[in-house]
Amino acid sequence: MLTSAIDKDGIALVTIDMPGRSMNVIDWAFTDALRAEIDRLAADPAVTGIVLSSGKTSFIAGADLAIMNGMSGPGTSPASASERIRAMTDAFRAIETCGKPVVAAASGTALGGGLELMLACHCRIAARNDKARFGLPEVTLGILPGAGGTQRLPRVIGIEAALPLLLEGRRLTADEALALGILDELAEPEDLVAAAKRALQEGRVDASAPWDRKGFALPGPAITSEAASNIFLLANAKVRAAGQRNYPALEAILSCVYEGLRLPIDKALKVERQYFGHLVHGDVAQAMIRTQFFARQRLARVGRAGPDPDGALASACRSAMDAQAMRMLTEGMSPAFVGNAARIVGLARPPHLPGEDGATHERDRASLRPTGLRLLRAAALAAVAALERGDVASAVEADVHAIDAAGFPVWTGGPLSMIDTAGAAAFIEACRADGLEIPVGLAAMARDGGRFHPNEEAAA
Amino acid sequence: MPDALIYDHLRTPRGRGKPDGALHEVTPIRLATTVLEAVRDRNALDTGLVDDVVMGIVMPVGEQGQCLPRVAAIAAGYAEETAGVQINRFCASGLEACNVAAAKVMAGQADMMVAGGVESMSRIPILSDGGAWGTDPQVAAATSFVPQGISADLIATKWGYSREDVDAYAVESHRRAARAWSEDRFAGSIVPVHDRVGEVLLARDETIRGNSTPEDLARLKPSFAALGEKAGFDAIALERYPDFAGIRHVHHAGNSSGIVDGAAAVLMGTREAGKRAGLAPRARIRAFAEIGSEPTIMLTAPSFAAEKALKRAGMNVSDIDLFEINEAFAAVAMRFIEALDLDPEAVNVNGGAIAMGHPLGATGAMILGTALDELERTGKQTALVTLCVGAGMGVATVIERI
Ligand SMILES: CC(C)(COP(=O)(O)OP(=O)(O)OC[C@H]1O[C@@H](n2cnc3c(N)ncnc32)[C@H](O)[C@@H]1OP(=O)(O)O)[C@@H](O)C(=O)NCCC(=O)NCCS
Repeated sequence: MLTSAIDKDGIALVTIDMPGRSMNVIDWAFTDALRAEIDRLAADPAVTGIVLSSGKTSFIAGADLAIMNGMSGPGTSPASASERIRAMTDAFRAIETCGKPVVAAASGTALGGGLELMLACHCRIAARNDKARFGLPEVTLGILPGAGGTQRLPRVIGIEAALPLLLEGRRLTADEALALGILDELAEPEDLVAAAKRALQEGRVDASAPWDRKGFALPGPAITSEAASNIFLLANAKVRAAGQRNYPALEAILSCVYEGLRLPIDKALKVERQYFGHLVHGDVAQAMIRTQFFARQRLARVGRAGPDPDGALASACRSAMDAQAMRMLTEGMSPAFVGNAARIVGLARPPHLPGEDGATHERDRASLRPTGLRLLRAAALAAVAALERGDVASAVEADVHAIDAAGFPVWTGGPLSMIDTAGAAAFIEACRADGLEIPVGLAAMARDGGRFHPNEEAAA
Repeated sequence: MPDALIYDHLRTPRGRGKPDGALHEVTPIRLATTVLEAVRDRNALDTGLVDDVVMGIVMPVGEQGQCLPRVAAIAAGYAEETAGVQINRFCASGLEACNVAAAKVMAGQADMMVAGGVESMSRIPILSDGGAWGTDPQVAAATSFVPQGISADLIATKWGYSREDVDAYAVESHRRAARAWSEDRFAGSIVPVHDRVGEVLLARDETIRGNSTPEDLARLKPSFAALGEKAGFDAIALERYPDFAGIRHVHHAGNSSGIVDGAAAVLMGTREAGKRAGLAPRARIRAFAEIGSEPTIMLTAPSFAAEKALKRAGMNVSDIDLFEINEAFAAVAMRFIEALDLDPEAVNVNGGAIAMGHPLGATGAMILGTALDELERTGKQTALVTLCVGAGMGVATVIERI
């Protein structure tokens, strides 16, 4: 997995190459091996500097998402998840504080944990490679970069540039990453390792991170400045308006930066991994990882057709929500209230409603979210029926297509994931309270304690 | 329980709170010493009798920081024994300072107090003090933070105040303030501010536009539409007020409180302390109250605070002759009038902060004084003074002439 070669100048070239995989990914075995290798090289007096490189055309694709499953479920807690991720945080911190200059030489893509690893190196060089992408896409799976990403990225490029990358998970080309200052240098692919060694030989690489040196100042506005306050004021509103608190990762990422940038790095990393522990242990992250990563990967592998907005599943979900919305109006809710309820649970498209009726009676705002969830439950029942009829081939496909074609909110992981998260029995009970009709198959599933997605499926 | 009696009050004129404002060159501490010196000198006050100087300051940082009231007291040449303390209840700080001073007197723990407030908004702008409320992501989320202007527009939305309604209210505020000045109604309480060579910098409130018309105001662009619609604050407000499809953005520079500089001082004490100082009391603090309210709409608490203070005083709304409500935004005052079903002719009869400005820490003490002067001018007895407060609070004080 890791091989090291020390040249005549004492530069250790560490090559990451996971056997049997097309791309390197970070799992616990890799984390432990990396930590051991860094400790060994740091202790070897013959070693003057270290280059971290990849044996593949990409650097590291990210963390192996299978490890995220081990951080939730029976016997785990946010605290245990936070303690678990610490192995990775500490391994990366060991690179940063090993006392010798470390250069990351990326042949290609470095995402998630891969970019976090690069950020812990003292210098980052990437090959000119049109296919390479750099970014921290954790947020798209309901988690955050928990191995230093929320702390080191703003320390490298400033709060203002870092926040959108952390909150949107956007992937950058090598040129964009260079322009932003995430990368220090680009090299021709065949010259990559030599360029990394040159940086060391020419003494261009400090053996410590800027934030571990005295007098470190954040690029851009200081975290305590009025400018930074304004950035957070607006960012808080933006994520709230966009996510309506359905995506706890957004708030957590902002808090990691807001709180962590005020702290020395080791305390900051602790804040980050505690927020991470809460997220990864939570239902939203587990549902998003299941659907947005594993389900989509599987559908792509078996070559299934993409979602069809006019297809049977999407139409059934939408008409179920429209019918439910009409029922709500007859119960005396205003169109505005129903529209806000749909928005609050993150429905990408509000149900069809007649125009404003000028209803003025006020409803208890505590019933807003339950009203939105009722719309989602109506659509979920329609998805169950569509699956029973064979309109979709699998639960996985139903979830993905409901999100893509019917605007079902991503945070749920799709309608069937939503039922699994609640548990079929609890879900049915809520539907009964809404006055919704329960399909026979679902009632049977609830009796047997069944699920749409087997527990271990996510790890498949 | 000793009565807390008001012996005197005065204020600086309010200067436009921008670099071209008349008081911009005056430090906040000099605004404070100006009113402290004036209240001492015109009452020939032995400051050795003054226990404490309590002042509201909402941005207590930089040159406005460091427990300014104590430093101002010694800089103004008050007795060494006179202590000083700064307090912050956002926009109601000046009235809160009066209430705290009154409470000490009523509790028998102080004999003579100077209360008041100071704010140089041109030198220490709003939001200079940071704070967690809107910026700490966990706190902003948990409290559904929106800026005050959004709350004001939400009030207009909820109670159906149109742009024409709020603009008409603003025009009237200017008209009344201009009339008050032209009839010298404020004359007894204004301390002009001088420059270093003794020239008068400002002797009148600087922002009044007596000939302001509805047509002028109709031309102004809403100040909070972008914050609401683009920055996302409307969505947060609608989460709490879901029966509305959108927020009506009606507030702008002409119907919101002006950003200004100024200071105020109120002299208070027991009957005995007044006798010792040879002063005649002008009014008595009957009761006061503070209250919290729903923080997203934020600015609706004045009526609740008023009801609480009245209850404490054993009085009804109909027992009050005169009302002063801080015109943070037109809709705030309009809602207060509507909630208590008041006669608009008994509310802010000499204009308010839309015309004259709202120097955050000082305003509460200023309008308490305005109410007292007007009671005296018209021979009336009772007044209720109230302000809305950030994060959903209200403060109210009931005074009675003696
Ligand atoms: C509403 C607010 C944002 C406006 O600030 P601003 O845009 O800096 O206001 P300005 O004083 O520069 O006025 C803007 C314009 O309106 C015009 N204007 C203001 N009042 C007017 C009136 N009555 N008639 C005609 N024009 C008027 C000004 O002349 C100015 O025009 P210009 O741009 O051509 O010079 C600001 O006053 C505010 O925030 N007020 C509330 C303060 C606050 O929140 N206090 C605590 C609250 S509880």
